[in-house]
Amino acid sequence: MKKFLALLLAAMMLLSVASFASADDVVELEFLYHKSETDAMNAMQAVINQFNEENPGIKVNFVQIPDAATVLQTRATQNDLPDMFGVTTSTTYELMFENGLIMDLTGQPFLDNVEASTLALSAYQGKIYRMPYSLSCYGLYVRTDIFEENNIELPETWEDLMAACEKLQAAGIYGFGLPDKDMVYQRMERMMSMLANNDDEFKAIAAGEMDPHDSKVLKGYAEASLDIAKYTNPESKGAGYDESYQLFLNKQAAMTINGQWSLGTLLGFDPDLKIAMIPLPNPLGEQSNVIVSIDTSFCISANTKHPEECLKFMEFLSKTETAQTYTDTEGSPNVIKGVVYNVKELEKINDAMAAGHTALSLNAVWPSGLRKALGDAATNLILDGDLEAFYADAQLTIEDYYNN
Amino acid sequence: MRQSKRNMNVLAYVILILGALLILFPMYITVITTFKTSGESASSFFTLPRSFYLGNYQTVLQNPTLWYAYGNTIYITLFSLVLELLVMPPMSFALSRGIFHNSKMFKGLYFFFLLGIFLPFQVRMMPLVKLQSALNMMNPTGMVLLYLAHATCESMFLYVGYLASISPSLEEAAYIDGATTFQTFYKIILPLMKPILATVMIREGLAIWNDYMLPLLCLNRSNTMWTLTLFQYNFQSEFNVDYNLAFSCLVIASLPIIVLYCFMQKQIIGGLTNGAVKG
Amino acid sequence: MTAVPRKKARQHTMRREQAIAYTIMTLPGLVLYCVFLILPILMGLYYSLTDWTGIGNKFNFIGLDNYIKVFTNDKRFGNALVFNLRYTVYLVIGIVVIGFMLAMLLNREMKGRSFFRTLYFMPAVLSMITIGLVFKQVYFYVLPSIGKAVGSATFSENIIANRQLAIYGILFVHLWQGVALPTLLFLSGLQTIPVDLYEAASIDGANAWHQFKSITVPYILPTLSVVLVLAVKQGLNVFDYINSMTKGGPGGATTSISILIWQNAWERNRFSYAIAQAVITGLIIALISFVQIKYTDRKKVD
Repeated sequence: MKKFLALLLAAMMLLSVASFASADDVVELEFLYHKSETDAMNAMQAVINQFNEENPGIKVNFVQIPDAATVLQTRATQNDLPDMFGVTTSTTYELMFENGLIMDLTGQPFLDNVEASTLALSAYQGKIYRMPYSLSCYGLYVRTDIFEENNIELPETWEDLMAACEKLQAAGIYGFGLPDKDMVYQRMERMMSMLANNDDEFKAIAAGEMDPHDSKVLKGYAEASLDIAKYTNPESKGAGYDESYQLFLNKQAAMTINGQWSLGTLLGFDPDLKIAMIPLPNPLGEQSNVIVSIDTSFCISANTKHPEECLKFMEFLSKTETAQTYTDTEGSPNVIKGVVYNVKELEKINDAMAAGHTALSLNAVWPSGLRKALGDAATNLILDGDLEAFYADAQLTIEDYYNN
Repeated sequence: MRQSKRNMNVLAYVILILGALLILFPMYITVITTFKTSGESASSFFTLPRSFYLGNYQTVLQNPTLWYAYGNTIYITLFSLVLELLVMPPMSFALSRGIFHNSKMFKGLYFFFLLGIFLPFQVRMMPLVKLQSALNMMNPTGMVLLYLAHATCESMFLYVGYLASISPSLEEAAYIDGATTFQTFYKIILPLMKPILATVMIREGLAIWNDYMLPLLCLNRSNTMWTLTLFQYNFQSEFNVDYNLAFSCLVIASLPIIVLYCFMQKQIIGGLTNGAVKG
Repeated sequence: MTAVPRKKARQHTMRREQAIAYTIMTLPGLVLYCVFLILPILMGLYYSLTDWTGIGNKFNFIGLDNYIKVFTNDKRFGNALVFNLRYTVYLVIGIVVIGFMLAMLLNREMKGRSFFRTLYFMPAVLSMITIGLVFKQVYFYVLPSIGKAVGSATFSENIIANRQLAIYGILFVHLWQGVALPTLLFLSGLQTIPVDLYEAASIDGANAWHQFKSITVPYILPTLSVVLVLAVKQGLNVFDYINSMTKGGPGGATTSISILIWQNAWERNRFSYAIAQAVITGLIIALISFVQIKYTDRKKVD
């Protein structure tokens, strides 16, 4: 027994992780990446490798972890943020800006390489704390093969969309396959973002100055949502992301509403899939915009011991060639000037964006957590079709989130 | 009499086999999925694989992080269990017998330890991570101490519960023969605790092996510090899941713990066959 | 034929040597417990009295405001509490009944016992991530196709997407995995029963039911008490099973307290408020457990 224990202890010592001794003249930087999709990881790794090769005095350590947001938040409370890290757009990070945990990048020359409009959207209280890098866009996925077989044009207005659904229904095909089990909140938030570019109505509702029935956003969304529900494959009610992809892949639905991030997964299942992503028609008859969100931005910790080197890496990221390498692998639209983005399935989305037909996601404008809570009301609306209950529930939720 | 016993046995088999099917079905899915490509899974999730595709296992096994994760997880789990085995049974014995002797101090201590069971993890999560960070223990060895400390409540609770049904009259005889308390504990009581020791080891072993939250919060500096759960979760991002890789990874990650169980299981039955407990 | 002879032995007082030995045995655990549990808990309690968002180190002391808000101005907490209490009742009954029955079966001398013991334990080995993934598929594909085959409208749809049924869908998975360890505990509890007690009872002509009532039950009570406390705790703290299958949905129908705490802490940036909710949950668990420990203790002595 004693022998066994001794062996065990010896084994433990061997297994214990070796400390990372490194040469003194190399500056090591910790870079925590917030995405875990394979393509994204490969893209980031490639960029970092290139930087490390070109800069022998600096070594950027690529760290990637599931649930990066939770990790960043925990490390923020210990004043122990990584030297550099990637973030999505969320109120959580604004709190970090506010608490002085993140370096102010305002006026850094490399920011000139970022498209000015996106840079302006990234400002927090007039200052730039993050370098925006890539966007996610949200819209309508169409199976072009099904549309062609049934002689249906790609819809541009809400009426077109409803007419297309009618035709599909007549042909015995469901219009939509959607992840309605637990992702209704996302579609709701993105659609509401297209209906209004601010949360003024919600503020008025919270202050008791507006009745939810008079809210363009709530009414517009609720009615559109019921329109969509009429043509949705009923299995969507029980479907998560993956199952909704299956409905779409197995021709049990001709359309789905989702983000460009789904494209890789869909084509992974079937590389020959005939699909196109187009802007979701605006239910109020106004401009149909691509709903975009700044999906990836990069920040530097305010407490880094090596600010110079971090800025150097940022500068490297902001180069057109670097961004092009990144985009080619990662697959989402980049906001560095001069980057070419060519994905055949996303052609229409690109055209719309180039024409300035974009709406910014309101997720980071709303109080944090609101979209999930309001999503419960939106899910119940799809399940019951009860508009009055939706308005009542939405009012309570908005009051709770704005006033507490 | 014998007839009724046979009937009972038949009934037992029927129930056990039905339950077994219920358990095996998800297992079956897990295993067959590991031998399919994602395309094949998408079209036929429940059928046997057309050809035994080994690419998923290859991908998982070729990932260098897996081996770090294995090393770290084994290190943390084994070390925690060995230390727990040294610290917890004597402590539980002391509490149990202290309470038995109506000592106010040990009764008080027992309820003090119970506090830790009731308060949800969320109460101490953030402070705990802060503390670890302040003590410079954001590493696998630091995790061992955390798990050990965590075991002080629940394992203690299980041991004390078990010790309550081992009669103290057994020890009295030893004391009369002049044995010290330590001798009595190690020679007489500890062997009797085998079934519960094995049970608690399995319970703790699984909890540590499969824990996600603490490793996520404490071991995120570098993926050479990852545990197997972090490695596994990495195959599941918010928006897409690679079932084939995730399940292959699971199978690889669970093998050691299954072996541990098979080994420990004998100890649980051991108590019976040795006829160790004499009333 | 009586159970553990406690009363008689109580007359003994601790010897000095015993008292010292017991103290030494307790010390290492006590130190660890104080540093890594009590200290963080105290820090957590302090945060619950502030308006800390969970980010940065700026916050104000606001006294009991968070606690008052939970009780006076939080409909969600009330709903979640009702959900948890319902869930806990089902879970505890399921764990005790199924766990005990399985332990009795697996304790029988029969062929293939060790095979079944291994098999029935398997679910406990799987990590939550896998169980969530597998059962989501089962509920989406398998159950509805069975439902359609037998012509049941209720089961033709995904039950975890149904507000009334989702709780049972989650419970089933929880029991599927969660019954393994209590079974093991019962099994090890059954080993404390001296075999000769049953032999003696058989010779005395006691039937199986009588043996069960007068030998098995008294000896298993301490284990039962432990299992009950742990099951109550699991039920009132349930998070993983819900998070991996419904995330609190559909439409908030399965939002448990822990899900709510998670949302407040990580999605709503109200960390101190989340901790206050956690403390209140802890007090409820402690109260239920205390009553239950007292109750089983009394039974045990009788």
